[in-house]
Amino acid sequence: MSERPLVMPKLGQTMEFGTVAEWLTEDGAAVQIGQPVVSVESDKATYEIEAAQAGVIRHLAAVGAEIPAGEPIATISPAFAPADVGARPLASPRAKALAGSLNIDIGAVSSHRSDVLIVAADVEAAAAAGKGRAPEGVPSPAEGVPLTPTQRTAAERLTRSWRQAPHIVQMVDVDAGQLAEAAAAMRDGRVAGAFNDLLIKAAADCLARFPRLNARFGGDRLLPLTEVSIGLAVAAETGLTVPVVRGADRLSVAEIGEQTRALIAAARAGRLRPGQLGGASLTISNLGAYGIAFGTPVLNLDEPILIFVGALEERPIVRAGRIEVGRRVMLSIAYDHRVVDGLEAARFSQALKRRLETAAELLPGFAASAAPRLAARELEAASPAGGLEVHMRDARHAWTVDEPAIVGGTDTGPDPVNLVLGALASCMVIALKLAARRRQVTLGEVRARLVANPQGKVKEAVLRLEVWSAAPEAEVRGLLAPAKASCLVQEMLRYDLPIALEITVHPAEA
Amino acid sequence: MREITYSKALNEALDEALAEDEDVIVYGCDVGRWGGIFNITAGLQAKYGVDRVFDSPISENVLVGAGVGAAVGGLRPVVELQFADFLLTAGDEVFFKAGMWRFMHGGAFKVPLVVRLPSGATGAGPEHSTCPEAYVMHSPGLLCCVPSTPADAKGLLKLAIRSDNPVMFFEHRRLYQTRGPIDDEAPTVPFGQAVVRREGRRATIVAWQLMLNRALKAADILAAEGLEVEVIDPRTLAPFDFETILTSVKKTGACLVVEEGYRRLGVGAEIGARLFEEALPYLDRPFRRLAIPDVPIGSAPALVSRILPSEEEIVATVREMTR
Repeated sequence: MSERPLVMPKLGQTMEFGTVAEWLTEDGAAVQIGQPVVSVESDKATYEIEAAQAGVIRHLAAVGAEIPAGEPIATISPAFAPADVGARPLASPRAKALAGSLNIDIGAVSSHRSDVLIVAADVEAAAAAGKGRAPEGVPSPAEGVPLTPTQRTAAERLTRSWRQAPHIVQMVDVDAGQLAEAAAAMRDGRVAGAFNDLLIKAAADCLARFPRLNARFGGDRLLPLTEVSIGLAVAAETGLTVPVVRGADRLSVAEIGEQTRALIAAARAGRLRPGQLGGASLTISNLGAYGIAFGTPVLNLDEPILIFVGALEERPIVRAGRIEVGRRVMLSIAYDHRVVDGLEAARFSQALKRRLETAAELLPGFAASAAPRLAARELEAASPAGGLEVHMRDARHAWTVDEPAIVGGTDTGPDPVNLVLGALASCMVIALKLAARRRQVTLGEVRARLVANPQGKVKEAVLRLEVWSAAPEAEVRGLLAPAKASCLVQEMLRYDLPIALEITVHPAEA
Repeated sequence: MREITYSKALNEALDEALAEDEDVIVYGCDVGRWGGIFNITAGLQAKYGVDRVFDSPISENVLVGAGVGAAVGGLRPVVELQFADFLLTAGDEVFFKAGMWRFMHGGAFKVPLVVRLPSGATGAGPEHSTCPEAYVMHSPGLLCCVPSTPADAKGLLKLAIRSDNPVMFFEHRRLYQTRGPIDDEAPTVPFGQAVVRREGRRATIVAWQLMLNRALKAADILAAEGLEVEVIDPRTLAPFDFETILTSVKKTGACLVVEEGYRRLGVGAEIGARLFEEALPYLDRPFRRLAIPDVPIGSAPALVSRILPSEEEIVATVREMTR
C-alpha cells in the first residue's frame, strides 16, 4: 500500500466541480477503511466519501473549495491507525479551565463546529448567552448557527422555486377508511409496505394518467419527463432530503416499500447516492404524524406538484343528512401554475382523492390476507397428528420443517437445525450484499458453504463465503466486518436468547 | 543602519573573532585558499595567514576530533563541516568527546569549540540536505544556534566563538544570500533568548531559519484574513527559551511548530511535549507540527519542495487549527 489520492467524485453526468462541504476527519487523523472522511457537495446532493484504505489523511482542499471532478482533495498514507476515539466533541483544557473560572457547566457548552473541540471561545459565547450557567445549544448571537450543507442547499433551492414558480394550492378532503385499514394491515405485517408507499403508488398511478403534468417548465415549452418518479421528503439530522422512487407507477406497493426502506435508511445515514436524489415528477411530504391538518407547501425546485399529506384522523362528516364519524385525510396539493392550469390541477386532485379512497385495490391480496393476522416476527407452527412435519407460517410465507426417516420423520422439509444454519448462512449473504449496496461495491454472485459438526449438538460451524466481483479485493473484503456486524442471525446465535416457553393442553379424544 | 547578507555577517563574525583573539583558528575543507564551499571564509586566510585559517582533509570525524583536542589544549577552533548532515559522520567526536568530556573529566578543561554546519534542503540529495539540529538538542553538553537573520548570524557566531563550551552552529544555506539590517552598536544577543518576530493573539508559530521566513509570509496572508498569529524565533535550540513560547501560548492557546528537520521526535515534538507538561490548562487547540515527513530527502527539486513545509501549508494548518 502506498499513499493514495482521494479525488472529487463525479456525482452525475453534468457535474464538473464539487465543493468540499465538510471534513469529517481532522487533517492528519488516522482513518479506517470505509470510514466517511469528507462530505462533498454537487449542485444537487451532498455525499460522503469513504476512505478506500486505512491510514493518515492529509487534506489538500479547504472547506468551501471548488474542486474539478477527478482532482485530488486529500491523500491517505498508510500508517498504523489508532482506535477510534469517538466522535463526541471534547472540550479543550483551556475551555475547561475557563468554564471552571466562569462557573459554567462545560457539558452545556456546544462547539461552534460539531466535529472539533469545544474551545475557549465557545465557553465565552455560552457565558455571553446565559447568565452564569449556559443553557444547552444557545448559539452566540454574533456568530449564529451555521447551516449544514444540506440545509444550505435546501434554502437556496426553495428560494429559487418560490420565486420562479407561481404556486397554487388545492386542498382535498379524502375519505381515508380504506387507507386506514390498509395502513393497519401494513403495520401488522399482513401486507408489505408502509403508509407512505401507498401514497407514492397512488400518486404515481394518477400521474401516469396525466402525462402532461409529468413535465418541467422550460420557459417557452414544457419538457416532458420519461418516467414517473416520486420524491419522498425524509427528515435527516442534517436537514430534509428528498430521495426519489423512480418508475413508481410500474412498481407494486411492496416493491415501492423495499425501495423506500432503503432510501429512508440511506437518507438518515447521509449516504444517499446522487442517482437517488433529484429529478422527481412530484414530491410527497407527510407531516400527518405531527397532527398537521393542512399546509401551503412550497414546490421542490423544478417539480410541478407537491403533495402535502395531513393527519389521518377521525372527524365528523355529514352523509345523507346524518352526522357520522369518518376517517379523513386532508391533502394540500401545490401546483406550478405555469405547468398546470386550475382545471387540470383540479382533475388531478380529484383523481388522487378517488385513488386513495379505493386504496385497497392497490394492495393485491390485502382482502385475502385480512383474516389471519401475524406480525412481522410472529410465526405459527402446526403439526398434525402422526408424523413429525411442522407447517410453518409467517405473515407472508409458509414452509415445512421435518426430520429424516431415521429420526422418525417423513423428510418433507429441512430439519430445524439445518433451517437455523441456513438462516445463518443466508442472513450473512444478505448482510454482505446489503453492505455492498451501502458502499456501492458491485457484487456478482455470492455463494456460501456452511459446515457444522454432523451429529449431536452444534458446537461449531464454518461459514465460507465466495464472492464474484470486479471491485478491488480489499473493498470486497472490507464488506465482511459490516456484514458480520449487521447479521442479526449471527448475533442471535452468539448470545443466550431468553425464551419464554409455555404450554397449554386441550382435551381431545383418545 | 547597514544592510548585509547572512553570509557576509558570518564572514564578518569570523573576521572580527580572528582579529580579537589570537587563539581563534578556522579550518575545514577548502576554507583557506578557496574561501569555503559557500564562500563564508573568503579573504580570511589572506588576512590571518595559513597557520590560523587553513584547509583540511575531508574526514569529518578527524576535523571535529582535532577541534576537540585543540579546544582542550587552549585554542578556540572554528570547524566548518561543509554540510550539516556530516554532524552524524563526526558523531563520536561531536556527541561523546565535545559534548561530554568536560563533564567526564570533572571540569579539568574547557571545550571552546565551534562547529559550523551549513544546513537546509537545496536538492543535493538525502546526505546533503538535512537540518539535524534535533540530534544536537537531544544530546547533553552541546549548545545549538539556529540564526535566522544576518544580525543574529553575526551576533551568535561571535558569542559561540567566545563560549567555553562546544557550539553546533547551524547556518541555513538558503539564507546565505538574504539581506537584513545590522546594528554594529547593538549588544550581542545572548544564548537562550527567543524573539517574538511578529505579535498576534490567535495562534503561536515557532519557526527558525527558512521556515521562519515562510511562517512570517504565512502570517501576512493570515493577517489579511483577520487571523493574527504570533511568530517566535527561538534563535538557539540549546539552551532553549521555552518561557517565551509559554508566555505566548498562554495568550493564544494554540501552537504550531514549523521545522525543516524530520517530524518524528523533532524539535516540534519536544516543544509539544513541554507544552503538554507545562501549559496544559492554556491549550485551546490541538498542538500541530509541520516538518519533513520521515523519508529521505530527494534530489529532484520538485520532490524537495513537495516535502518541505510551505507557506500554503502553514496558512492551511493555522486556518484549520483555529477555525
